[in-house]
Amino acid sequence: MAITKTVVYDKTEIVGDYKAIQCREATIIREDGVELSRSFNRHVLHPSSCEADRDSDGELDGTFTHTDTDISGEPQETQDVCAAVWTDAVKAAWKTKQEADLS
Amino acid sequence: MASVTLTNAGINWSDSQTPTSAGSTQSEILDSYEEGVWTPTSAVGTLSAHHAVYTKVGRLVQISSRLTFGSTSNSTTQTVNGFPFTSYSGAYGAGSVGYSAYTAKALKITIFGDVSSMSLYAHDSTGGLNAAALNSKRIDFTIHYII
Repeated sequence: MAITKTVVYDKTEIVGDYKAIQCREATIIREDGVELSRSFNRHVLHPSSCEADRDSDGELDGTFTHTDTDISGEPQETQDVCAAVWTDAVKAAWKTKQEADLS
Repeated sequence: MASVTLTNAGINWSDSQTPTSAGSTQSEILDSYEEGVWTPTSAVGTLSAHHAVYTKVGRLVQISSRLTFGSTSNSTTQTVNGFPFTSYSGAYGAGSVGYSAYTAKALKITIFGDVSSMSLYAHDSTGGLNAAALNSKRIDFTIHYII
């Protein structure tokens, strides 16, 4: 009787105008090759993150700082998808949208 | 007699609706269900999270967790990232706070369109709380949003 645990990225989806990458990681437990359970862990990748300075009352108090998302820890396949869909136009539109959300 | 049919596309409810409530066929098919875990992260500083789970039924996602923000005096807007799905561009999501150690004012939670994060606001403010305001604070919450 052999119990094995396998972790795979089993689903990658490109969503919306800003090309969010939805990633699903599946943890699969098998006994003698027969699947006993499958559980999921999800996360979403965006081209960048945005920070804005605020005072203690939440009023905007500075400029925006954008940081490109670090995707170096993602599987190569996911990195390739990001590189393909996160064009300069998409990145610029995403930054504009984030600033609008935070304003 | 009205019936619900199981198809390759999902569970089709269109024949079970009354004429006045029936929509398009597309909007009457329940085509997905999924549950799992997600990993909350904070835009500023550290964050510890417990019981971060999600359930997705069709286009509706419910997520919940217990978060404790790390110690910081940073004045940058705080957001909680790491949602399991990107929100729908045409709708805002909202959350319920079950417990909050931020006691200065009541908290409200907003999820903008096309994002996988939430912003935290004092109830009477349109600007998100900064990280210093949430310094070392614990928040327990549940959120519903459309994808």
